[in-house]
Amino acid sequence: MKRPRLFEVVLAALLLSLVTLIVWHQAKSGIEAPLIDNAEIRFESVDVWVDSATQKLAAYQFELALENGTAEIVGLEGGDHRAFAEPPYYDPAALHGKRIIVAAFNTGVGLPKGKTRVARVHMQITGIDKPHYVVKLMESCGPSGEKIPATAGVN
Amino acid sequence: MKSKWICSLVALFMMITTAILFVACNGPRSSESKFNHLSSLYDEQNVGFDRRYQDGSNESRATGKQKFMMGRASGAAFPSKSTASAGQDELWIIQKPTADQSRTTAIPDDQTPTSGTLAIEKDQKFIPVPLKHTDVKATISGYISSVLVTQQFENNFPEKIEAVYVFPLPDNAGINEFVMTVGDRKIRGIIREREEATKIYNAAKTQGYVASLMTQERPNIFTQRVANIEPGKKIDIQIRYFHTLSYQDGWYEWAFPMVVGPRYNPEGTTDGIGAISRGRHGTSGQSSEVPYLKPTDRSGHDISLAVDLHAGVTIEKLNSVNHKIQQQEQAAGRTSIKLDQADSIPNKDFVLRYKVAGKTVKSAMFVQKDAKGNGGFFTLMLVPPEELKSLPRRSVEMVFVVDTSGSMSGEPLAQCKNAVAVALGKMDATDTFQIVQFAGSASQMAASPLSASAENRRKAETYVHDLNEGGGTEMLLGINKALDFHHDENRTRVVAFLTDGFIGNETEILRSLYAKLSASRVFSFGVGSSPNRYLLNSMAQIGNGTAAYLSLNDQAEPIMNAYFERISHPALTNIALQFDGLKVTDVYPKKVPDLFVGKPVIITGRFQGTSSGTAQICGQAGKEQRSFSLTMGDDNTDQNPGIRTIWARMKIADLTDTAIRTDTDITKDVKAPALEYGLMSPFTAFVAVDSLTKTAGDHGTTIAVPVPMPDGVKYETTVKE
Repeated sequence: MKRPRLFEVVLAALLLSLVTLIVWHQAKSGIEAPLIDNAEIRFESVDVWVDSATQKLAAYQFELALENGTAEIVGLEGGDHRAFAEPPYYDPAALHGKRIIVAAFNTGVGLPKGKTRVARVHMQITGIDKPHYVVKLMESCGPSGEKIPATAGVN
Repeated sequence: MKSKWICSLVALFMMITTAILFVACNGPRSSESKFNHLSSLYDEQNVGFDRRYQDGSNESRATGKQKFMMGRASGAAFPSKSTASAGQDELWIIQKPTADQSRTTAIPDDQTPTSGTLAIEKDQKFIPVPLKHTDVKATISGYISSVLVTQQFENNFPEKIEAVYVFPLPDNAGINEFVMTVGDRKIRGIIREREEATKIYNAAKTQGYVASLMTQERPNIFTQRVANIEPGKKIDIQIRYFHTLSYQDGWYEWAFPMVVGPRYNPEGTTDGIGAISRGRHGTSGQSSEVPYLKPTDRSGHDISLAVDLHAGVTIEKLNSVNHKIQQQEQAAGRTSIKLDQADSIPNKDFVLRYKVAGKTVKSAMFVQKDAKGNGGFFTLMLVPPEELKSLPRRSVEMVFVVDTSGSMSGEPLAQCKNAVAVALGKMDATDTFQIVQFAGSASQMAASPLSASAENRRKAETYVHDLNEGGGTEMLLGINKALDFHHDENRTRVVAFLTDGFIGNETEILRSLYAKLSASRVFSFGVGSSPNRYLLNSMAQIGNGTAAYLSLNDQAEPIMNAYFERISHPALTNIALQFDGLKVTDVYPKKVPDLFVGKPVIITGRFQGTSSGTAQICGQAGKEQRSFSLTMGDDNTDQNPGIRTIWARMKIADLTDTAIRTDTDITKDVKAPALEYGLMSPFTAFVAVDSLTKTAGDHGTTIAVPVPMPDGVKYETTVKE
């Protein structure tokens, strides 16, 4: 059997070292990327609007859900229009996981028409994922309690 | 030989390379796990997170809409909210607190406010406090009250502060609303598990956001924290609660406590309520602390209070026990009451008593139907049947237990002495009595109960007259003395506790009382201007008795007369309820309290279908079975928005009561209804964060709001300097 030359042995050792280094580098990158720093907590707000087009909006109920990311609802504020300036109510029983059901009504005069911000939801976000919010309008009513067509969204 | 040497060299080289690689591979893992560990520690220790922008500035950027386009120095892309189109990358640097940042002690006494100083009475020193005013607005309808409390915080100090205020509310208050007002913006607080709410608050606080947190220390003691109040700024906190009024002997009573009395915590207690002098935060060794103003000090904190009373029937008599009021009749059965401006120092319970027309109150039911009208919640006041009054009196073995501790010094003890003297005068020779006094220790008048002969009663009056006050409040010793002696089977043992209830170990006291109760009945008398109503009500409930309150302005005689009337007739016991015509579930309290003459009880439950039907109440009076029925109809029910809250609050109280009796863990059981109905509890808290108001720097200095000593209580006998 032919004995390996010194050059071949050293080359094999160097190649092995190189492969190991590459594997280590990849492993290192893989460890760092998914780590979530506990310090990565930030606060932000989500504005929810309702567009009732030409009709007066007297009441609404929407569900705001978080599709990805980790967030907690930490406050609930009213909207721009004075009819919905008071902080709306939420359903504590529905405050599980990543959603909140919010509702308000106003039977007074001077109700808003068209697109108006009805609520602002204050959030605590944890981690690096971008939160993606989805709003679902459950109810929209006019001054007499009649259902009116409307759309909703977030800013 | 040479090739062997070369092979060894190569093997050594590979081993060293492998070792280096191993260390290199594991090094980062190790440091990352350390990093995680430290991060959580940072969270707990409120280490500030210094937000620095890549342009090198770290100033507050609270104006307008916050943009949270975030990134790391490495350039890893951090996604943003869809509307934040032009966010700026930020660096997040964990920073250890400097000594200045981490201090949580109060601002030194000599620090003066920069503005907003109120007038100081002559010879009194003005103490700046961040709580400027408390406003209370209550509506009473029947026996249900809705109360809105607004606490107005204002920073008159030259630096940013966190205000901490320990305050009382009624022990049966169902608190279901919390709103923080920053400028003209109102933010509704969210109910969370207590630990989670605290973490959110701490994170917001350390990052400089305006935030507030309300936690429960006892059913009647709460802590309010408001973070990052900048100099000159105001922040209001609004709390709403519902509760039921008490009714006895023809009078409704509505009470609003204004100050937490100084609690005594027996040695070894750490979760009590510490009574400390101002600026001595952290010295009591207790989990909560209340700093008290010296008698010569006066803070600018005052209170306004208004009650809108809808009695429904003519109000025959009305009086405020401790405060001057202004009353204005609005209509028949409706009147408004305001606290007189001259009586605005929050140092005693506001107690409103009123009597309505009619010989006796009727059993009344209130209903809150669910949204679909199919069932809902109800409360029902069970009025004892008149016939109880005709049943003969049984001889009693009366034990008076008098609190002679330091907090009872002066007027409260004098009031106790009056009460015992009146009660002794009501006894006859067929009764026996004993007098126990407790403070740092406990003693009794005689080795065994004495016959209530004229001579013995005279001796007792002298004994009571000579009682001296001073020392701690070792109530357990008093309980032991009162209940640990042979019971005379031929007499009903009645134990009357006369105390302000200023202790911090309520659970221990109640548990001990339950363990030793046997056949005794406990009637508690809350003495003074701000008694611990949670303790006194709970003692009476566990002791199958009733609670009464003897303010410093009360006449002892009518209250003790009513008490004797109560114990002079058998109570309706072992009460069972049966409902016909409506399906009722989840009735609380689960064990309906005994019904005494002149003292109705309130129960609550859920129903399905309509609320019409009949309630059949069966019980035992003496040796006889008694029953009576009540008509529950839609005609005599009002829709009341607070009933479901009251139901959930009474469920939590029932669970707490069970935990005291059985020493079981009720955390999960309480959390469930508290979170479902949005209620404050020992395990839930309200938190509110204004993510648009970020102040410069971290949380600033923590200032505990000092409060006045309750009226009639001496500072020097209750607060450790």
